[in-house]
Amino acid sequence: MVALRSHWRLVALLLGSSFLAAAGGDAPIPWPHGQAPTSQAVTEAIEDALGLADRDREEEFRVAVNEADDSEHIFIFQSQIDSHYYDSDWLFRFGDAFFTHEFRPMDGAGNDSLPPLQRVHSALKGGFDTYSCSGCHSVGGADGAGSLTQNAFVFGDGEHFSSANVRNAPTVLGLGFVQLLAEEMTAELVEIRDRAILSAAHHGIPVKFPLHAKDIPFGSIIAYPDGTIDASKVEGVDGDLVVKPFGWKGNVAKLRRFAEEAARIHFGVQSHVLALQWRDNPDYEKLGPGPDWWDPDNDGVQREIEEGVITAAAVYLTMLEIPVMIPPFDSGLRQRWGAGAQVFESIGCANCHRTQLTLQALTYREYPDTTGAPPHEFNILAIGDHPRGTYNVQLFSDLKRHDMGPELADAHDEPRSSIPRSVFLTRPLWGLAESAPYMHDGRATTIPEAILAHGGEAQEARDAFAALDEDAQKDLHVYLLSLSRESRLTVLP
Amino acid sequence: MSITRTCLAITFAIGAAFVAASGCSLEPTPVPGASKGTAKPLGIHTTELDPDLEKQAYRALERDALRREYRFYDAVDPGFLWRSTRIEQADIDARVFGPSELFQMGAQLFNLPFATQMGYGAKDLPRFSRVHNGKRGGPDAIKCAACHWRGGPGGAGDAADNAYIDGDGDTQSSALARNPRSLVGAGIVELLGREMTAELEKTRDAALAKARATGKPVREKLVAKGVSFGEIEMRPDGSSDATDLQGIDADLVVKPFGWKGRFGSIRDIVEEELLIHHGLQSTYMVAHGSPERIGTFGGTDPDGDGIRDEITEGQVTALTLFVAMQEVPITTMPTFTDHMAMLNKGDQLFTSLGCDVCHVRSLPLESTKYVLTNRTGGPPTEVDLATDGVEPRISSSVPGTLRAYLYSDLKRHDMGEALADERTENGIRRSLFMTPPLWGILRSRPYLHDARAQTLQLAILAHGGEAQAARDAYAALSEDDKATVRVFLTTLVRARRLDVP
Repeated sequence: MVALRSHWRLVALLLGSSFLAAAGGDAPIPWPHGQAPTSQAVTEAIEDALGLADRDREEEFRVAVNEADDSEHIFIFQSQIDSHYYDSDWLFRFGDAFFTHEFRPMDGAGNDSLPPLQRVHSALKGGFDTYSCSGCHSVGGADGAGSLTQNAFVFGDGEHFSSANVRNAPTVLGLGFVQLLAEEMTAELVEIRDRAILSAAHHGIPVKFPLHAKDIPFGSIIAYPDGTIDASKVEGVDGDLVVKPFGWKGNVAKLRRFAEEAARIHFGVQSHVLALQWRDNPDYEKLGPGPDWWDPDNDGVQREIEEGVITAAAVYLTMLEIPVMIPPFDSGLRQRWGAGAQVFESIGCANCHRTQLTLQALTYREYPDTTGAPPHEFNILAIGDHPRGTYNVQLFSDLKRHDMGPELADAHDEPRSSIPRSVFLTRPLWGLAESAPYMHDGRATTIPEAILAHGGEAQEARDAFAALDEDAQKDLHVYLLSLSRESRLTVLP
Repeated sequence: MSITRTCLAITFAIGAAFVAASGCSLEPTPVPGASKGTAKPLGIHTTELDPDLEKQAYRALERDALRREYRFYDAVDPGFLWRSTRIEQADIDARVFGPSELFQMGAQLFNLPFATQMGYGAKDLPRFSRVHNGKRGGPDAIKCAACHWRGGPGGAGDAADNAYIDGDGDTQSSALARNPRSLVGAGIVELLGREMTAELEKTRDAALAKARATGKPVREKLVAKGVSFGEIEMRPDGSSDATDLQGIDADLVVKPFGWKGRFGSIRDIVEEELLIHHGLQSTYMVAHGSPERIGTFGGTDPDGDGIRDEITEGQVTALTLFVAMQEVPITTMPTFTDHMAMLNKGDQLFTSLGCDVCHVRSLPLESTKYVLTNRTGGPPTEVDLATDGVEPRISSSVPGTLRAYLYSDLKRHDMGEALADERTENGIRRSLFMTPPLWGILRSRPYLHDARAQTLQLAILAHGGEAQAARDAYAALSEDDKATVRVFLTTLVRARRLDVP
């Protein structure tokens, strides 16, 4: 199915003074943000929802007539983007179509060496565990998280679930903000490294500089007069100092790479960018045997995803709404919520789950891979679905890797990765309430279970939580349940 | 802050009616004539679909607001949401709750994440097992709604949601892949099946009476609602020859549920799914299930997890009624004239190709009364699907006659080797499958029992066995004519519903 959607208008923040009672009862409705939406806001939301449903319905008949019609919505050349043929709204639509498109054999889904629907991935090659992005991001609404059933089983033997590492799909809202924050942090770290190298050269002795970005410490770096560096004391980030905020292990820096990789390992669909890489440096283990560079997985379909589609996917993800905080309605619960916010700070949760990170600049840039053209760029607060928040991104993460202890560690090493089994990126907590189950493998059904599953660097905070009196634990639970997303009126199905 | 103080605050803020719903009081004050248990419809789910769009939208936003607020309640009063579903069969028998309230509590259970304290899992099974451990199941999911989401409430599952049943607990190929079905129209389907079963039993009983009267074996054709199920021979001694039966077990019970047609009633399949997907055992199953299914620890806690009465009889009833009361799919026409123009041709081809030999367009329904027998000695529970179910409901265009446009004959067919499983399921041959109803099909992608088909065309072309001729006839059509069949199938959808996902 293809969603031809344009932007949601915002219902919930356009508040009216009317206070609607529930049908047949006297109790007021516990509206998010305290008040009922205005009639005008609801009318607009209905218009938006129906308009989208009408377009989708027409598209269903077009696809019935011509099954290839669906694929046209995920076909866009990078050169068209480079020449500004499409604006951000158009790219959003292409990205949305990509996200909901169900990949079929005609689109290059699958891989000649893999059986259909292989739930356990085969090493680097991936599996073929579903047909669309939206297939595993169904929890909490569109572009949401994955359920326990939808867990991916990565780097396995293609047959035994116990051979694989388990990955639960996180929500994909707000990811452009995450990328932008990570880019700024990377720039800060690199700047420190460059200063260290200059300083070492200037003074003719090795120098050790502490690394920090957005006030988050990342260990230290030693620079030598000959321009070499020692990154062995760098913490929570790779030696290249590139903050990689995507993936449970924090191993992907850019949204476009994440989208490309997900399509490859879940649908067996290979981007043309990957094919070009195979041409220059054939990676049989990861992409397949060829023999033709333009079809590394040898399924007879070439140019399975254009570079332009990867760009559109990244722009789409960046333009999605961001998660928001919605405290309880009831005044007693609100008090507990306030108390919970304090508990979050006092027991040390916020040490890693940094409540907010502040953006220095608002221009989001999506660079092409192969054309060398300037990036597609836009103001991240001004363009896209509402809500979009402010400079202060309430992410609840430090975008840094931490050792989470042996209990949470993966069962297996990941191929071509030096990240230890027990090391994970601090998962942003925004949108938490709508993204159960929790942890990298979905092992925790509830928030308290998730907290108690923490170990390693988080052991102390976890133990502090366990030692709290019951009421303080509940206060924290209430607070964390307020990390949610806006109510979105939608036409179902 | 203590829970008592919170309750007071709630009382102050939003009045007594909400407190009653809040469950803050751990020992509810008994009210004469009211529920003895902790069950409570919360207003988060509804059977209604207001024709006024603005009202529909407001109601949806209200329900979402309640859902969020009650989730906070559950944080300060752990187990609150679970207890809101702990309905006692005695209260149902005493008519404490009406159909819409029973539906709501079933829906609350359907959407509730199951925790260990509720009885999720078993002592001797992993916390989570994507491949099932034989007849015991996974567990592999924390709530029903996790795998029934696509296409709206009670919908179908994605390919990633496939269950791997009856396996070795680890190996994908050891198990049978089963794509979660949409629950639409399930109550109507069960009623059709029951009426067909009654018709077949009547024929059998008449044959037996005739055999006894004549002292000779009697062969009779078995037909129910116009669907032929082969022949049966009844002998004067009461025994029978079932070798010429078609598409049905020797007990002559039509079993429309499960891809293989294993379950005749929603209650049976609801109990099975609670067991194999969540490790939740109903009181009834604990009393009647075999150790192979429910575990070997015996007594009242056969799965050994320390939780008894994991699912009360009342919860089974509420969940069964929730499923039975699901909406009936509808058809909607294309808006473009060139698509409209193709529709008639596609409609005709659906018959002339032979699709509707098995995907029988409609079956007559005598009664819309869904009567659930009582397993604890009380009166049956009854809801009228024509007035109590989720809108849109079944309705008759011609007074006095009801037809369900489900596109199925509710019969098992041989689908050929390409679609066959690796092995049998509960004794049902590898290539035999129940004709899945096609109503609402466009909302239940992907298609076929293991979700192998992403599109309508791929699904059609995957047919074999008894459907081989129809499949080949479709394949032989011109591209334009094929398109008309797909346009026709594309009209089979579910009603639009303004909701907050």
